[in-house]
Amino acid sequence: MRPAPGRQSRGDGRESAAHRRARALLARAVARLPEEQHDWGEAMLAELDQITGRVGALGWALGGFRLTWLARRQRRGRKGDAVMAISRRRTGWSAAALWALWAAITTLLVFEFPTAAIVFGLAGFGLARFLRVWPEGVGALGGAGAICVLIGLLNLGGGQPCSSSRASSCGGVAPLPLLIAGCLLIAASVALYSVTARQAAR
Amino acid sequence: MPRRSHISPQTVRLLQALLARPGQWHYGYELSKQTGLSSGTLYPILLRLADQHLLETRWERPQRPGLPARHTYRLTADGRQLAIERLAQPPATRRAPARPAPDGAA
Repeated sequence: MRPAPGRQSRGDGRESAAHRRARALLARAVARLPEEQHDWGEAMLAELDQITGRVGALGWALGGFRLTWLARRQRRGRKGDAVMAISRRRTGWSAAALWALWAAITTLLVFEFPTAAIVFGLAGFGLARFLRVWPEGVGALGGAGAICVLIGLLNLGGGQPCSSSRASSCGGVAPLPLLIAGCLLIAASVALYSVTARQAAR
Repeated sequence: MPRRSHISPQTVRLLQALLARPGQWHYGYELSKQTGLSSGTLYPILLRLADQHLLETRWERPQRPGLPARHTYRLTADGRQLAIERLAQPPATRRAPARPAPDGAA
């Protein structure tokens, strides 16, 4: 069992005001450390007695906040890794399909509601960053590809010279490039997701 | 094969300091002075090395009553071996030890 750590002052009444302030500051940082890493904060507190200068003591105390920030971030990452390890096994392809749907809806929104498309798109990226689902994000390519194919199919016969008027075209777009691009995007998304999911699982 | 990340220059400095007297227990402030690392840089590295079982830690009883117990550190056998290997490599090819896979991960 470890001896009582150094949260309290050295107890001989010789601690300077600067050291007291630094100790109070560091104690605040230590209090925010995850429980399992509390010893590291106490270790920093104990070392404060060895520091003689005012600036040094303050600098040492401020380091406690960085330790706390990094420890909390690491813990969040571990939780996220564990959650993703489970969810990826169960829902990897479903999540990629959801990404494809998200991309398709965003692309469709662009034509009528550009602002909503931007908000929807940014929200999707924010969610992906929060959930750490980047491999599945490749599915978005598939969604964009599906929209290309859809537009291509709706324009079958379009983009041709119009025989009944002097206009150079009867409207619409040439479907072939869209169909080719759409199919390529869908194929690329499936292939890329297979590769990235395999790499992420290693 | 697990992904391996580059070892930071700060970690190299710390490993050098720990390896200078490998059997001896080191204090945090002493390591900070030897390496020139601030506490906010030093302790996260110590924590990570201890997590990877490359560093042993222990609380040392105070030398005088009224003083707090101090946390001390030294490299484990694995840590020593890894430090020797990494420090022997030219700087451009130094790699940090792979992070252990999270529990339950494939």
